[in-house]
Amino acid sequence: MSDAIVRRFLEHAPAVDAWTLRLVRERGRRIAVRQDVLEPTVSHDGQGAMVSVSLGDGWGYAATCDLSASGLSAAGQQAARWARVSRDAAVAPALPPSRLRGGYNSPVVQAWSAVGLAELSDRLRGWCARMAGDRRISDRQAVLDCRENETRIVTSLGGDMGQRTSLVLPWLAATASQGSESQTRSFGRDAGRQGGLEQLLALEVDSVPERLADEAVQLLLAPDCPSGRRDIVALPSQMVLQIHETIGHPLELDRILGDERNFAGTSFVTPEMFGTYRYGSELLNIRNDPQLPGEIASFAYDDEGTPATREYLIRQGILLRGLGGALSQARSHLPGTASTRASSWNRPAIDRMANLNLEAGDATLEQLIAGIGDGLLLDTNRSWSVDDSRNKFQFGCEFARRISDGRLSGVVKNANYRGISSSFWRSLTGVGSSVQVAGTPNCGKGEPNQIIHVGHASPACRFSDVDVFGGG
Amino acid sequence: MTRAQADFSALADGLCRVLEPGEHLMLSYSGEESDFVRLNHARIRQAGRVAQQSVVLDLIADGRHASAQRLLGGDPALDLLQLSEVLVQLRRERSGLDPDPHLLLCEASQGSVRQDEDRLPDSAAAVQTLIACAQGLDLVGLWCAGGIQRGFASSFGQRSWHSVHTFHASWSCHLQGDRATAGRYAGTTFEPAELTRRLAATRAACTALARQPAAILPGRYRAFLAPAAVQELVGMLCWGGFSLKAHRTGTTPLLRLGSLEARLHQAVTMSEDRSQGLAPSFTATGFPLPERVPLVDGGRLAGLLVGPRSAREFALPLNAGEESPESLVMAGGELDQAEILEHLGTGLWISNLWYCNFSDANACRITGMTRFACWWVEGGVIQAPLPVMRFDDSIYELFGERLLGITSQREHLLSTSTYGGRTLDGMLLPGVLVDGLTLTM
Repeated sequence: MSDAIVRRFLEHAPAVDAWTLRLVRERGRRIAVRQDVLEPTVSHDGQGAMVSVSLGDGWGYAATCDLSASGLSAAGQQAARWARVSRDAAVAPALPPSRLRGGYNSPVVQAWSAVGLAELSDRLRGWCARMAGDRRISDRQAVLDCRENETRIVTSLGGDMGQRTSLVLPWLAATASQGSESQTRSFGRDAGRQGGLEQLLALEVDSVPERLADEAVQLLLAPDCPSGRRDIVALPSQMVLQIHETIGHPLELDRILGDERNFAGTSFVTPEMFGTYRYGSELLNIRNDPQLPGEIASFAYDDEGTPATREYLIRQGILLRGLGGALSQARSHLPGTASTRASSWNRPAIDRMANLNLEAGDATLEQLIAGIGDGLLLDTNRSWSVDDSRNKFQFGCEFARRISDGRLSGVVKNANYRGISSSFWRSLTGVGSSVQVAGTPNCGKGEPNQIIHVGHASPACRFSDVDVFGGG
Repeated sequence: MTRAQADFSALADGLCRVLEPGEHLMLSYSGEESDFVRLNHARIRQAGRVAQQSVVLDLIADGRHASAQRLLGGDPALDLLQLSEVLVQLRRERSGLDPDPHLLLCEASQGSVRQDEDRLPDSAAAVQTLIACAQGLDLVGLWCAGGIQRGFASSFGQRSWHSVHTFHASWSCHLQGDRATAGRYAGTTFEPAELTRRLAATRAACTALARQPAAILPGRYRAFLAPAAVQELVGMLCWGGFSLKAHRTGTTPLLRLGSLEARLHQAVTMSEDRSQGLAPSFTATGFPLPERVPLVDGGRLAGLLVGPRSAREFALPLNAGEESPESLVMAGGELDQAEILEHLGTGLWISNLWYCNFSDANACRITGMTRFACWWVEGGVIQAPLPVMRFDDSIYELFGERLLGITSQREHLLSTSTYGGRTLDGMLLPGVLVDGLTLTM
């Protein structure tokens, strides 16, 4: 199919300095069971194309789902028109397109598309039913979002790269209510994986439902989180957000270059900080890893056609490299990563996180907790807010337990904490040895807006002297 | 009738002809042709055009249904062929499913049509005006413009169509770091002189930002929240605040308002008012929508949005599509915008809030950041720009006992969201004066 589309495009390729055709086919199915009732299951299957062209210093694009010869030809002409408009007013000259040829397929053991809807929905019904054990549970949901994306990039310089990724994203939630108080416990906001249904086993989703319902009820009865400065241990389900918002976004080169200032914001990180800035304690090692099996944003090439490689962004606490592709690297004269990505065929590629991981240390969870006199264990992000520069942050967690004299004690609700990104990571005093591979589907950025999936693998981490507080 | 409308109608006719006895088909259409021009340093960063159209098919028989979404290529014959094959797949899939107890079917044959005139400018010319007016400014932003269409068709004979053409220019001008001011211009009729006027206002505000920022400590300050800041707070209430399902399942941030345990100031009145907006008057499942649904009246919860599935589940009349406001209107008050500085006296002028989220949803307590040209005011006179500050406060306080007044003037704020596609949502909001906004860092 894509060969025929490429041939049609080649017959009508625009007369420009260079062009790139990016074809994307997206298939998927979302199955949801709420309160034991199967919600309408909508499958999707669609293919679209983005044609981007350069003319002198100008660059333009046109995206269409009309893949006929006339549709592709019109897209080429529209892209050329925008390239002409931007020729004398471009922020930076376009780079030549990629010449590379190659491919990538995410490993899949059990394809979701090979399993019938009835079987999948039965599995979800089972999970949903198992959250119904207490009369205070007022809402229960079990959701499975399955996706398969195929991308092919063909360029006027002979580049031809095809990639196919399969994703599974489970989500379970139980809400407990009593009077005018309610608490929700969930699993999966960050559990997206690349692969097939075998990832549900790897994630041990089957062990989750009763625990969620039980913990939601525990929260309903729990006291509020105490206020004050305390040591915390953040589990991987919270570390995902901490890494994402206070390391990932600040290191995006397009933020540093100012592209995002009208929407997603800028960064407290400035160009002169690379190579010398102490971002965190010596325990902090952050790597862009496009090759970790099962992690949601693994790929061989980014959407500029640059080969993806493993790179340290922060090593032993020192900032080394930003997140951003070839164009941003050329504009900023800073080292980056092959992570220029588009959310779909209808959006141009911009600098994104891909798999951004915090490397393991040598402490067990018990050892991380053991050193704390009066602290908190934080589990599962539920609230996030951070300033324009990704510096002043406040995060909230679904579930928390107090740590007293090196041991876990009672559950507390509405646990929040706040800090300053530029100094927060220097209070990292312990890194766990067991890494959990996580992935979120909902990273929003860009004008026009784009939502994309990103991966974060992390162990539990301990931070000292953090400003924590509860609700009310 | 436009070509897109005619093609959609013909597609629906063709699909309905191949239905089997007892089957019903619901067809929901979404399309847009949009120019997007992204700017940085008052130059073009990315410029392009996106044309997309898709349909969602829902095949129903015996209370069982299955749905699929497909992109349309635009060739009527090929699209009909593609969707006819999808119907066969849905027929097979549907037969293996249980009846859906929450399915509510619109059997009305009467549809509605809104086909607005295209009065948009050439995008390239508009962007050139924007760039020319921004000379010397470090301007970042987005121009987007084009047609947006929504459609619905059913085997009961309904054919509804909604087509509007909108533009939206959104920009910010930066002085240093996060010292910046923002502007926007959106609508259906573009006037270059109005764009020029708004950019001149941004330039003037940017000049004022050069003053030394105020040194503000965490604490509670008297504050005026401009309509754009109110939009961020009210936007948080749209996360389940007015949803029947959210109230019945305990997942709403307005649980205490619903249970009468809390109330807002009696001057607070909100409604979903489609007569004031651009959103279609029918849902994606074909139900006609009332022009106005009261949400908050005199500080008390006056109504909730009831989507088709909730209508069935909770046995209440339908009045919404997604149970989140699309055209929220907040009533104006007595304060004159021109006298706000005088009313404020000493405190904060908050032009924009940003990145809000709940600190404690049960208490409707929200945290977020100030953004874009907020000011420290003393004796009714703007003194200095405010550094970026975090707030953390409850809506029950800000729109409750700490509410001092509401402006009589209101601003129509179209949604700038373009995730996946452009939207037709908007809000008509006043500014509010409060006796205290809690800054935490």
